Parts: sequence; C-alpha cells; structure tokens
Amino acid sequence: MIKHFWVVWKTQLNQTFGFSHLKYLYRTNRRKFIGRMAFIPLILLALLPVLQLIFKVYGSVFNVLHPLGQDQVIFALAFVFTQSLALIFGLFYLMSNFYSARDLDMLIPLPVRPSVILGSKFMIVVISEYAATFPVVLPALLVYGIHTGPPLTFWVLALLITLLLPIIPLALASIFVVLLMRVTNAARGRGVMRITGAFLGVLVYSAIQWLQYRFRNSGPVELEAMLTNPDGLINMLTRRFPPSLWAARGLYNFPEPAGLLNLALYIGATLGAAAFLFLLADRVFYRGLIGGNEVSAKRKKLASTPGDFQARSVFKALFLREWRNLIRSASFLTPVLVNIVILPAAFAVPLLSASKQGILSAGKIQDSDWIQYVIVFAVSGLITLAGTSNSIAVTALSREGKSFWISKTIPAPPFIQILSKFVLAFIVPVFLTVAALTAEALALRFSAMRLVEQAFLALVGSSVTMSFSLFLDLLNPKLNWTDPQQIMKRNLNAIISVFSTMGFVGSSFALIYFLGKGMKFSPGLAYYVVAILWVLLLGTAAWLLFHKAESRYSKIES
Amino acid sequence: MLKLLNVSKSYNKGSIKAVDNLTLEVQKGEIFGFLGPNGAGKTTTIKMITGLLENDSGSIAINDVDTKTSSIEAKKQFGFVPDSPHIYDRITGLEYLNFLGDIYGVAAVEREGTINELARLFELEDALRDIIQSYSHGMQQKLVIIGSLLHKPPFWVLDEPMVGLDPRSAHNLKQLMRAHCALGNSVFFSTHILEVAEKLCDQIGIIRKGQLIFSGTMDELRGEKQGRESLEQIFLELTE
Ligand SMILES: Nc1ncnc2c1ncn2[C@@H]1O[C@H](COP(=O)(O)OP(=O)(O)OP(=O)(O)O)[C@@H](O)[C@H]1O
Ligand SMILES: [Mg+2]
Repeated sequence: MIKHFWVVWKTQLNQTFGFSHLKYLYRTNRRKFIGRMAFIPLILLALLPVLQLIFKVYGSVFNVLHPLGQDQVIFALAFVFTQSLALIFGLFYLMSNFYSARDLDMLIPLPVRPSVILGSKFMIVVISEYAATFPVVLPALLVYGIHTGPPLTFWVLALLITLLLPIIPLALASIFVVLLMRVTNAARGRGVMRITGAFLGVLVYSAIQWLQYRFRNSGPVELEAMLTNPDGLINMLTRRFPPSLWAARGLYNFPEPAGLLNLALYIGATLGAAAFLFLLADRVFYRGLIGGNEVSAKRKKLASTPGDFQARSVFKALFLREWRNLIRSASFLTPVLVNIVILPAAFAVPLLSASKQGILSAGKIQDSDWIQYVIVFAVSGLITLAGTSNSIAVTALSREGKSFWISKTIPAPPFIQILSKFVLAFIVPVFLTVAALTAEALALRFSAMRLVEQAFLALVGSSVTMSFSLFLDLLNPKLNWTDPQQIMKRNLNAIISVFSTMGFVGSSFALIYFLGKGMKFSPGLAYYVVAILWVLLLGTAAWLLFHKAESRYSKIES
Repeated sequence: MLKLLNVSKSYNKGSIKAVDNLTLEVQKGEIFGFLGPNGAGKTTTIKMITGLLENDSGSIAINDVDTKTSSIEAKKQFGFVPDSPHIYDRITGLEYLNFLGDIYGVAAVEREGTINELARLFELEDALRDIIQSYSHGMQQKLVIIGSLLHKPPFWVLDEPMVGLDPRSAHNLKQLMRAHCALGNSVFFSTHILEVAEKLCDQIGIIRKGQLIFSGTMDELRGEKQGRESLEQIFLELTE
C-alpha cells in the first residue's frame, strides 16, 4: 500500500512538474532548457514588490503586537489566512484534479486502491498549494525570527507546521468535493450541477464566516478587553479555524507542556483529516468517478426541424464555435464564473461597508470630483485585470488543442478567426462594465458624462491587455494537450499576461497619482491623459495582433 | 489538379529531413495513392498540401491556385480528412457540419441534401444530434469525412482514411472516392493497404525517406518487374 502510494505519487509528481521533460530538454535542446529555467528568477523578481509589501505589513504588525506580549498572534494571523486561502482556492483545483484528469483512465485499471490514487493526487495539490502559502507564512515567521532570535528548534518546528498547513483545509475541501461528486453522479446535467454545487459550497462557507463576524458586535469596550486579556485577540482571530490556533500556540510555547499539547492537537487534527479522507476515498471516490466521462446520447432519429440547416455568416459561425467550446467545458468556464462573481464582490463589499459606516456617502462622492474619478480609475483597473485573469484571451488558440487543424484548413481568414476569439473574450469586460455602470448610476448617482467616461476607460483598458494576451497565445499557442487542465499548467503566456496586466494597471495608477499630486492636474485632465495613452496603446496592441495574425497562423504547426 | 514542385520540409531545425525535394503531379479525374513505409513523409507531405505545415522550399498549387500566395482561395479547393480526426468534442455532429457549411458558404438546401445523403450512407443519422464526445473513433472519422465533402471540393485529400473504419464503411468510402473522380474531381490519399491502392488507384506514388522513388500507374510498376512478383514483393524490394 505504502509502496503503491510512493510509485503512483512519484509518477504524478514527475508528470505535474515535468522533471523528465526538463531532463529531456536539458539533453536535447539546451537553449529551450535555459529559457525555461530563466523564468524562475524572473517570476521571483516580478513577485519582489509583493513580497516586500508582505514583509512590511508583518513588520508593522509585529511592532504593534510585540510590546503587548501578543507575539503568537502574528503566527495565528499568518496561519489563519493561509488556511482560509487554501480552502477556497483549493476547492476548484481539487475538483478538476480528482475528476477530470486524463491519467485516470490509465490509473483506474491498475491494481491499487482508490485511496492510493486519490491520496497521491491530493498530495500533488498540497505541494502545488505551497507556491501560494509560502509567500504568506514564511515572511511572518522570518519577521518574528529576525526580531527575537529564537532557538534552532523554533525553525525546525516552524517549517514542519508550514508544510502541514494546507493539509487540513484541503482535506476538508476534498471531502466536500468527493461527496458532491458522489451525490451528483447519477444526475443529468452533472457538469453544471457540480460547478453550481462548488459555488454554493464557497458561498455557504463565506456566509457562515460573515454571520459569525456580524454577531460578535465588536465595540470599543470589547476591543480593549481583548487587547488586555492575553488570549483575547488570538481567540477572536482563530475562532473560525481552531487548528490555526493550535499551531500558533504550539509554536509559541514549544518546550512547555501547553505548547506540546497544542502541537499534538494540531498534528493529530492534520493526520485525522487526512486519514478520514483516505477512508472515505476507498468507499466513494470511484462511485463519483465512474461514468464521469459519460455524456447523454439519445441515438434517436429526430425529425429534422426548420432550424437544423440554418445558414449563418462566416463571422457568426466562428463566434458560435468559440462560444460553444467555452461554455460547454467546465474547465474553461469555471475561471470565467469565478471571475464574474468574485470581482464585483471584491468591489462591492468594501464600498458597502464604507457607506454603512458613513465614511462614504453618495452625497460626499458627488461633492468631490477626485473621489468620483478615483472610483472610475479603480473600476477600470479592476475590469482590466478581470479581463485577463480569466485567461479566455491568453488561451484563445490553445483551447482548440488538437482540433486546431480545422482552423488551419478552413478558408476563413485568420483575421476574422482572431476577431471572433477577441469578441468572445470581450464579453466578460462588457458584462462587468454594465454591472459597474448600473451600480454607479443607482447607488452613487454618477452623471451621464462620468458613466460614459467609465465605460470608455474600462473597455479600452481591457481591450489593450486582452489584445496583448491574445497576441502572446498567437505567438506560442499550446495545442498539444489531451486534457484541458494541461493548458494552464506551466503556461508562460498566462503568467506573462497576468503580470503584464498588473504592470499596466499599476503603472497607470502611478501615473495618475503623479499627475494629481505632483503636477496638480485636475482629475478630469488626468483622466484624459490616461485615456489618450490607453487608446494609443490599444492601437499598438491591436496592430500587432491583427497585423501578425496572417503570417503567424500559417507558421503554427499542428 | 495538384502540382508539387521541389517541395522540401525538415523538422527540428533541419536535423530531420522529412520531405526531400518532392515533385509530383495529380491530374484531373484521377485517384492518386500515396504509399511508403512508416516515417517516410506521407503525413508531412499532406500537411504541407493542406496548409498545416509550411514548406521550407518549393511550391504547391491546387487546382492552379498557389497555396502560399493565395492560401484562402487554395483552401476552398480541397476537402481534408486527417489521419487522426480530432474535432471539437463538445458540440453535436450537426453543429460541426453546420459550422463547416457556414464557413464554406454552402447554401442551406444543398447542405441538407449532402448531410442527409452521406449520414445515411455511413449510418450516422441517429447520432448527428448527439455531442461528438459520445461518438466512437470510427464515427468521428465518418463525421470528418462527411464534413470534408460538404462543399463539394474539386480535390479530396485523405490521410490513411481506411484506418478504423468497419468493412462496410471502408467499402462505402472507396465508392465515394470513385464517384468523386467520376465527376471530374481528384482524390489524393495515403494508405498502407496495398490491395486498396491496387484496386482503386489510377496513379500511385511511393515515397521513401522523403524522396519519391516511384510515380506512375500500377501497370508501369509491374512492368518494371516484368510482372513476376506480387505487389507486396515489389513494395518490399523498393522500400528496402
Ligand atoms: N512533429 C514532428 N517533429 C519532428 N519530427 C517529425 C514530426 N512529425 C514527423 N516527423 C518526422 O518526419 C518524418 C516523416 O514523418 P511522417 O509523419 O510524414 O511519416 P508518414 O509517412 O506519414 O508515416 P506513417 O506511415 O507512420 O504515418 C519521420 O522521420 C518523423 O519522425
Ligand atoms: Mg502518416
């Protein structure tokens, strides 16, 4: 059993992280190998500002809490945050990893237990998750370590705890996913039900968190009590997730009995959650899985209906193809839905709470041009980020995969094909812009002029970055996949696309700040400077994309 | 109908020469069989003809349309069935065929006629409204075949089309190829099945290591060997 696990896991590790592939590149194509490796420092470099920010935040937290004797709260903060992150973001990742991976067809016939297969896939997700959790946890521990100079045992223990962190939340998410799959397996329209189920899960979880938060009316008196009571703060923080509390206490009080007890609780809970998942896997994993590739097929002669052979224009036909390919595939559609749901929420929640507390009111907003324009800029930036982060544009060609030969042999000019892909990607920004305009018109009473400016900037901004992302995919599409998940794996284009969008939005904000603060521009003038700049950039990006479409299309080998 | 002139293609920056200075012609109304051992360069040649790969040098013309200078016009001249028919699997067969019909500008009435006729021939009528994911390998192959004939192309290109088809469907396909040529069109296909080439082809070409080592009629091929040996024997000797 253990040996099986090791073998299955090793192969999956290799497949997921491409060790053999790298070795092969090293032997056969040194240039490409160096190119691959060069990206690691580049990504780290791009992350540097973010890391710096994280260190800064933990530094100031430490400066506040250390004098109060609340050091362990720093750990708790980092641990809670990491574990919540893992829980929410791991859910969709787990779902696709457990149930729609192509290698399952190869694994299931092997004489190993379901828990071995699920377990090894689970461990792959845990390891992948480290990429997201390390930057959140390690800075906290480093800040504490640098300031207090703890003994070596602290570091060993800290490392162990960090490595175990994603296990509990991911195990909980896995249990949810496995059960969800089991329950929906017999249903028709499974795909849609499963996505909906996962969203409901996240929603219910968030709602519970929110309710807990609301019902604990934290007035100023209580806050003081919390700060003076040695355990008040940490209890408040970790009430949502006790394992984080155990980990923090265990680490802080280590050699003492209290520390050992908490540590034992933490490790025990981790092992328990994992063990429960494994036990459950043997019972229900396959039952949610088998028939997973089955699709409904009537195989019945249907009377032909008038719409059956309707002729459409070339552009409509191409767009319809893109649209159907996107919305009928759970792996493609999920990020889009996440995008459409999460972004408006990210914007609405702070705004709502600010208006509740009287910091911002519609009246105040109407009095200040700057506040209005800052909202216009922020919303445009968010929509621009949303446009690329769902990766419709950056996978526009890659999504066609092995059926790309169709695109190459049909007599439809690459220009129109690219245009149909662009229009598809454009739907999300248009939808988000309409949502933003509605909110701005109804809640903030923006003038018609402001609304037009908002719509213009948001749509131009997202067009710039989406054209660029599409261009990246055109230069180097990833067509050789057997499983949609592989498109996003090690996809340099997607990484470049997201970082360049961040850079684009970030530098635009810096420019606006400079124009307003440094040059004392009026907000309206700053707006027009940015708008003109973006239009120029759009011209460049669109020219690149459509100018190159023809020659690139014929060079892509499929 | 098809003219290849000194066409070459190498992979991996020149280290693998897949097609080497190939010159070849297919006449109107002709069925041309393209033979050769595994890795000889058949698929590579077909991919260059259909625009899936760019040839490094030489020129290709289909129905007197150059594939490089007027690629869109050239693509209207042929219908193509690749060796492994990967198609969008989330749409129905009918949606796929309608997509092609729209792209090639086939009128609705004509589309309906062709689809109904060919779907009946290949016994695919009942599956047309199901999504392609639910098709077997052979059914997908048949769907691609139907799609490739939808716009009644003058030139029909097929890469190992018999692989994966049941005997009846393979028979139907051969009939279709004959019928296609009878209308003054041409067919170009690669195959490993010598009997098929023998019975079906007006002309055959044999390729080895990227070079054309024989081109002519079956009789000419036999004539070279004074009719003493079987086709299999000749093929084995030639491609040694
Ligand atoms: N994508 C590729 N990259 C590198 N080399 C390739 C590629 N595709 C084909 N080759 C090489 O080109 C040569 C010709 O291959 P091709 O696929 O054209 O052969 P084929 O005649 O179709 O063979 P088969 O009868 O097996 O289908 C072979 O040596 C093959 O290894
Ligand atoms: Mg081949």
